[in-house]
Amino acid sequence: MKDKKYTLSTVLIAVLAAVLAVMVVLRAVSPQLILMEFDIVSITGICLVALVLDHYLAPGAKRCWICIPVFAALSFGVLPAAAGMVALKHVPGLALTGCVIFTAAAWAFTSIQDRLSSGPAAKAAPIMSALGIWLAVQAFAGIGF
Amino acid sequence: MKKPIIALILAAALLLGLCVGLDGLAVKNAEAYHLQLMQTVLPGAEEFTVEPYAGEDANIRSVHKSDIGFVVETSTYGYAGEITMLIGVSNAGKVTGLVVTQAHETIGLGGNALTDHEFLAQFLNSAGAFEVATSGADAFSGATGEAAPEGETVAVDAITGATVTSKAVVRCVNSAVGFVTGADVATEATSWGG
Repeated sequence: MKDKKYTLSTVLIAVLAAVLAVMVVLRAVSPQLILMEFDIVSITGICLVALVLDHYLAPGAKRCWICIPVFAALSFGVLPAAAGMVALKHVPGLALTGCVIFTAAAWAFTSIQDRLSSGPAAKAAPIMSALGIWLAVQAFAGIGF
Repeated sequence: MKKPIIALILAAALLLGLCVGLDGLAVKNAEAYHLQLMQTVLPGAEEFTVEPYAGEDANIRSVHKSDIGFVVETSTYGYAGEITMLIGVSNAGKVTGLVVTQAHETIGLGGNALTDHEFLAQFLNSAGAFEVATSGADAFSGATGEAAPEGETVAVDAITGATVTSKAVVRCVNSAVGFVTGADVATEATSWGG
């Protein structure tokens, strides 16, 4: 149980690293592709995938609400820069945005999950909750780095 | 607490290694693709030399010169971030080809600027300054390939539901044509929908 509260941050790092690794490979082999940019919608999408995976990997784990924003800022600050996907001048902004979005998404997702965790729809609830949140942030499309 | 720290260090090292390892291939492929695009938007051109640009047009990113014309890389803000284009312009100032190389416009609306041949074809073989057609405007709307009379602009039909994107594309093209013809194109890279 002690380790489980850090699972969410570890899963976020794994998901973000996997996305970035695919982007690095695609950039090298297919220069004609227009790669995803780190805007509010795509960052939220990555965060929600991590939240859904965390729910299935560590159901009921307690969240460390101090670690979540700290590791989100570190993840979005370090990993895209290491992959060469963002200019260094954008790193602080991306770290701050990732921190705010991941914390907000984790709070919203956890709140919804707590209310949907019973009943026959409980198994699909994480995915449906994530889809609902992701659709809601479409209003912020185009704001990014 | 150790798990995420170790995961972060490992992931950063992996990504850095992947990025450095594939850098040579990425640069080689990007250069080959860029040359292929330039030869497509300026048919007949084989080799290009980079022409230094020291003008005041904030939309112009780079200029590539060949014997028969120029390929100008331009960039301006659309509805959702920057739109980058490669535009071929003959020495006579006619647009020979254009392609959107970077854009993150709304899928199904402004995103159609990447593939809407009818919209993009309106610029081909035309000369002069372009303008998105609006009802009541007195812009010139001759057939494709016809030059607009002195002092008039060529009217271009916007992509349906994407006027801001269409205007961004028009600004990119006007900057490229303006560079070759020496026309005074006043642009502001940050203007939105103007």
